Amino acid sequence: MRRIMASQLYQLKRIRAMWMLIIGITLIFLLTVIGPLLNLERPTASLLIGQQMPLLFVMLTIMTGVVSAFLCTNDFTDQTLNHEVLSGVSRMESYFGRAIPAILVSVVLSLFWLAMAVCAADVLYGWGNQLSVQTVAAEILLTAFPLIRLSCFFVMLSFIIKRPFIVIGISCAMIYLIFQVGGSTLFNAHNYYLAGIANAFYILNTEQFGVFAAGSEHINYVLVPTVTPASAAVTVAVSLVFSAGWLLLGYSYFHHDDLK
Amino acid sequence: MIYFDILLFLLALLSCGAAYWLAGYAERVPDTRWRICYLIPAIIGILFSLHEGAEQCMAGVYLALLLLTAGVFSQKAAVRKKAAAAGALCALTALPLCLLIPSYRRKDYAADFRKGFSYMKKYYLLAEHKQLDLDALYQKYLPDFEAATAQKDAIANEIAWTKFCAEFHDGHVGYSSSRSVSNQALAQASGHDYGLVIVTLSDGKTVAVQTDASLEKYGIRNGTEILTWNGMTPAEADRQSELYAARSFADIDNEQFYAGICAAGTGGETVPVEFLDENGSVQRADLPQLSAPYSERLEAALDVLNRGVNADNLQFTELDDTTVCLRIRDMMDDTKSMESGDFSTVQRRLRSELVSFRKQGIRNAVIDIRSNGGGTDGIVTAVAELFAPEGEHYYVTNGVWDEQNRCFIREENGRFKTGGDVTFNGEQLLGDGHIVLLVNSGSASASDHLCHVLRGMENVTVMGFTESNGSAQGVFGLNLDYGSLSFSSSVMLEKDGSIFIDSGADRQSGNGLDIRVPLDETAVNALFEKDEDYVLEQALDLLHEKYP
Repeated sequence: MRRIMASQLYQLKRIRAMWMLIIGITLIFLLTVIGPLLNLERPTASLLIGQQMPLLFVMLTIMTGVVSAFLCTNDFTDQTLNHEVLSGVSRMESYFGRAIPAILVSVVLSLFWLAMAVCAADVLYGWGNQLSVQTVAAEILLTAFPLIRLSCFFVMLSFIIKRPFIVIGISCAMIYLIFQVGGSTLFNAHNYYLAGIANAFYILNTEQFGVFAAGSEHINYVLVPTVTPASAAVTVAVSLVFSAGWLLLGYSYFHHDDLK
Repeated sequence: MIYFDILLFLLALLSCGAAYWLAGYAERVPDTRWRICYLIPAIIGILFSLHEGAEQCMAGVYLALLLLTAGVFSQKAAVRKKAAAAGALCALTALPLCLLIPSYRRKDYAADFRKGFSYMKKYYLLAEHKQLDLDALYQKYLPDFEAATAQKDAIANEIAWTKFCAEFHDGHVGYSSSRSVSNQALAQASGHDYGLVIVTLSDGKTVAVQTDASLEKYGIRNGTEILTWNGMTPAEADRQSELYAARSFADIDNEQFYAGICAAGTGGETVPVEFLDENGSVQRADLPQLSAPYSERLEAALDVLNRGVNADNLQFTELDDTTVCLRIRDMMDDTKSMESGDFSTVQRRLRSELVSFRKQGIRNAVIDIRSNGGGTDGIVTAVAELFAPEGEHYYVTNGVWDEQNRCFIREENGRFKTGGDVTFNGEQLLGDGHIVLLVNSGSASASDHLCHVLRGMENVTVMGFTESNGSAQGVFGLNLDYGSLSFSSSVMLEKDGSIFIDSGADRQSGNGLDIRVPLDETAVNALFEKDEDYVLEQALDLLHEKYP
């Protein structure tokens, strides 16, 4: 399985679209952080991160879909997977040899981008008092669990659909659907665990409260993280259960797949 | 059951039926892709639940959708059929559970109240100034929210919030859920319509206004003096109304103006009323309930009492050869100005129009900020600069925010520490002309500011039936699960560190009237019979007499 994983990662490195995506998302993250430099009034890093992180997560959802799509479906299209199975590699090795790198790459890249945004904002604006460093670090680490869940879902989808661009299309459509169908209930504390994206949004979201002064447009924001120790525990548990469920469903489908 | 749960319930049953049939068909026409069909109901179920939230009583339905995914793992027809049958049974359990268990789709209004209260406890600025015991208020109202939760009553939740907010006597403390719930709550709290509204005149008499044509036969019309309502004085009947406790006035003078106004919504199927007829003799009648809620008639009466000049926001209207009226409906302008905080464009336009009016012989102005709920201080200075006497004028002093401790800094004497003063420069574009500022209890927030900065000036007279609202601190909204709460959170001070405008425990705000227009028989006749803007007429009379 290790060989399959290594070969998948090697393949991924050679996909130009993947590099374009990585550069594109890095630029979007950096522009989001650099953008307020143009404003007359600059935010602190903790304010900017507290307000922008949920939106940045949208990018990560698409990226997770893309990574899973490329890693898990490429070998279907050129029938490499058929040869691999015929050569005696077990289906479990073929499946998890692709699923594990997809999950790892998605999570590591996502955490890197989030951390990069935090560091860049800190360097540019100074940290401020809206959120503590520990809170932001904990939120980012906790986001890894819904990301794993999302990634597992896309792995399952990739093994069922076998067409990379349909999987990518679905990842974009999911974001649209979540916002449209989810509506105002999306961030409701009682619903956040129903979908990985909603869960990540809930973790990264903050309740905002502001004070201001007459004769000035400046608002002093007070950000209160929505996540609590209890909701963090639920997030971890639900994410792991869903991740296992999606992976098992995907494997079950692939296990009996006639690879047409 | 709510619409979405019924849909999901039916979808689960249909999916189970379809899955059962597909199990046999897939055996005859084998294809691994049939397995996808067993996954789709679960994904639709998640999307449905995202819309309305998950519900414990619907667990059977969720389990049914989960059981169907067994068809992804196994292609055996027997397994798929058993999963579909078991799923259908599970789904059916949801029906009695949803119908019989009282906690089905219960919204925890009490938790929402706790959350909102915790923010108010931390950030509401005026608790000390108004000598409010917030913990006592919490204890007083928590049972109302718990009852609303138990009864799944959104209207009771709205009424409880409104009553709670009214205790602050601060126009900036408010709660709103949806417009429809707010209207229903108002209708419920206001009581029944019997065809009239009772107002208290300046001399203490209580008279009928906004009367229904059906009361003609009893001899009750606009201006008829009402002696008793349902066996009580109108003031006593007023206090029987649930709406009475839900109405909030920062300034006690404004509250007194509206004394008795909720009375005519109280009563049963019929209500006994004593009134004076045209000859001055006491008459009695039993007024029947009309079909609409009292709130509709009350709102119509308040509209007549409080309406301003019918012109667009920040637009001049020529009232006569010497007077123009600047109507300010909101202390706001276009989106661009609001976002940038730069109101120079609107100020330039107003200045140019004012200069042009001056050339045409206009001397005086009426600035109408009646029922102007506020906006931004940028409009306050933009307008005040045009009319104020030449030179620098003091506006307000800001507090000092401590970012570390997330609070405004207080001095040792308990007063807020003062930060920078805000000033503006007057241009006196009307020269020796005079300005009448028309206000009412709906002139709040930034309107209160405008009233405060102009009222001390020698060329300005503040007029109205009621004073401006008396709520002038900075306000911020907070989203709760079932509505949004707003309250005073940004401190605005006088130079000496005392609170700017907002009333304290004495409930006297710092925005009195120079001329209080009396609500008398003449005013009632002009307002409710002749449909005149009585306050504006009084303003024009003043300008013609004293500043011709």
